Amino acid sequence: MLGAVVSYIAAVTFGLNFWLAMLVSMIVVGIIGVLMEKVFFKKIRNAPYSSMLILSIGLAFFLQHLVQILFGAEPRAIRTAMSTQIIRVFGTSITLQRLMIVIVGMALMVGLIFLINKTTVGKTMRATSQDRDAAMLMGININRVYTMTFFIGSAMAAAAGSLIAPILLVFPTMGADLFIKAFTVVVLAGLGSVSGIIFAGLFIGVAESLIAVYISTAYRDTFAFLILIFMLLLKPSGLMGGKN
Amino acid sequence: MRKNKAISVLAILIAIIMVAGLAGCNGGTTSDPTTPPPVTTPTPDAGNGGGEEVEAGVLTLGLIQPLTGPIAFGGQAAANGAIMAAEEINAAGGITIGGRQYTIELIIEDDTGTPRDAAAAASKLIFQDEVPLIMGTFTSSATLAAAEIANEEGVPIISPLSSAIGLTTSGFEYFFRGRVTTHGNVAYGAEAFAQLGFTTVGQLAINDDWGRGDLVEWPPLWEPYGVEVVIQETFDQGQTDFYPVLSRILMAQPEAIFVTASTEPASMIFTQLRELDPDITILTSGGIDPTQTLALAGPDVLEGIWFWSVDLPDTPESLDFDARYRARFNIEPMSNAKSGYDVMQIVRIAFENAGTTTDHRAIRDALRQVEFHGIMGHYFFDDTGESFLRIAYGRFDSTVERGFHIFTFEDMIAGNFS
Repeated sequence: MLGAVVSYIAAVTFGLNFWLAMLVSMIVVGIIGVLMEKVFFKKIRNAPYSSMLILSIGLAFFLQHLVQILFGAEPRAIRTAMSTQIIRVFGTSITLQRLMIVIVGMALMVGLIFLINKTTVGKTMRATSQDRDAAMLMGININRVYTMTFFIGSAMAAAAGSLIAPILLVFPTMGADLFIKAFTVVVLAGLGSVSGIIFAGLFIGVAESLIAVYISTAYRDTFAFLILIFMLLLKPSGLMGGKN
Repeated sequence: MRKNKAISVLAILIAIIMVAGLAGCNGGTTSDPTTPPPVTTPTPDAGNGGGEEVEAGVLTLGLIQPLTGPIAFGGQAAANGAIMAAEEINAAGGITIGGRQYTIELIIEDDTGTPRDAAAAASKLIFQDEVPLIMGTFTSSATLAAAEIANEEGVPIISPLSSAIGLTTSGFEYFFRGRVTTHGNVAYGAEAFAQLGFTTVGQLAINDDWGRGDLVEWPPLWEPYGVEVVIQETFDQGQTDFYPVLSRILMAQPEAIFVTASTEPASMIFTQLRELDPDITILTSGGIDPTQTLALAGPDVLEGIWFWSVDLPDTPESLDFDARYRARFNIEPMSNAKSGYDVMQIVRIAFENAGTTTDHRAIRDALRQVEFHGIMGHYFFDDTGESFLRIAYGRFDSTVERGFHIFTFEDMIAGNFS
């Protein structure tokens, strides 16, 4: 939501090119993410995961309402030339905008996986997530790791918001529909599994659409929650999650 | 183990959010919390004409609207419309009733949108102020409470806004309304849209009382015109991805799709539908504001889409009203204000024709005879007080300046929509 709003301001108010607006949005939201870490999350770094989850949900609601006060609740539209270019393949059609979401989304994911698995920054991130104290003892500046992680995470979220903005409308609660789905994807994938997230997200998205079209639209959301319940019962660590 | 614990906490949180979300949904459909604008003090110009017209009388009328509470914004607008009409009538010399000039004075009561306060307000106006007619109120349940008392006491009451079907089917002899019911809209809309030449239609409606009502009411009304509803689907408030539900509708291969949605979801639905099928005929009910929809979805997407509306903001009457309203109240007009204004004018005509300020039965009979071309359209009534305000039909067209064409019901029936 924040990513889409910043993109809207950059693209519509300041008249920037869509991709440039998306880049601006990623940087701005990335910085906001880092500030959130410095102001809030740093304080509860030693608390259990659940506290962080509750904090992030609280912050999400706070930001939603803050944006509603500053930006207004009425929906606005970002329109790009790509929205009206329709490509027809194999008897179906897709707009260039949607195709670009897939391409840019994949590029960002590949970039993220490369960053985490192949670079020193990524290595320090993985080390910190596995055992913070040991990482610290190995001379990793964990404050910098947290800053980087929050920046990258927030920037990725901003990219997602910016990409989806032209096909939806921009308003404070635009992400509410996706909020619970995102949690379901995380549970299905297992916390901390980046490649798992990609498959889980694709699986739930495609399965939901197929169910809605071929079975019933009424059961669309039911499916996501059924998966959630079964995963929690059968394999709480997630599909790709390791041995607890 | 920490991860497992985190996930179970997550599950509980999701459950809480879902429940909160559901509660939010219900709240959203029943009330529309808007900040009430500064209450404009009614300034009845009772004394204005007094100087010239020595024997001028004062016609005191009751007006009930919610002026505080969650729907005060809309109620205030309706009251403003009536106040403005009364001021204009007085400035033009007042009403001539039975050969005598009268100026209008409004006694304005606040019903907060509740039946309890509406009943109290109606009782006060009837027994204490002894008004010969009441204009009000907004929510159908409040109007019902006021109408019961007014009907029992034989005082005509006319609501500018209430659309529940029960108000005109409860046998109230003294109740009138200045707004078409969903039912009335549907009957006209089905006949008008059937002229466009499609024989199969798929319906997509929002999953609330309004949307589900449309799913029940349209198919039987379309049937006589040879139009068959081949598939019906709903969507939820807040939904943003319509690809699956639209794909499902398109799989039934209807010639047209009829969408019941308000401006924001409708904009997204039209956009996504045009991506999936650039040619299918799209119709929509009176839930959209055409100008706002143009701003959100853009003229390319909307080209050729049909809609109908009780309020067409770009008619000359409407634009003229908007200018006068802004000058008088310094706020943006809304359709409620136009309804309030029109109802005051209908009441003026009824009193002029009745020729009396005291004979309630004569006033009621005169109301039934009123035929009036107002800001919102052409009004006339039947014996149950139902108004047959004719709605207009629109088609988005980027070649005209305001972005859409307007057609009357007669245009539609005659096939003049090219």
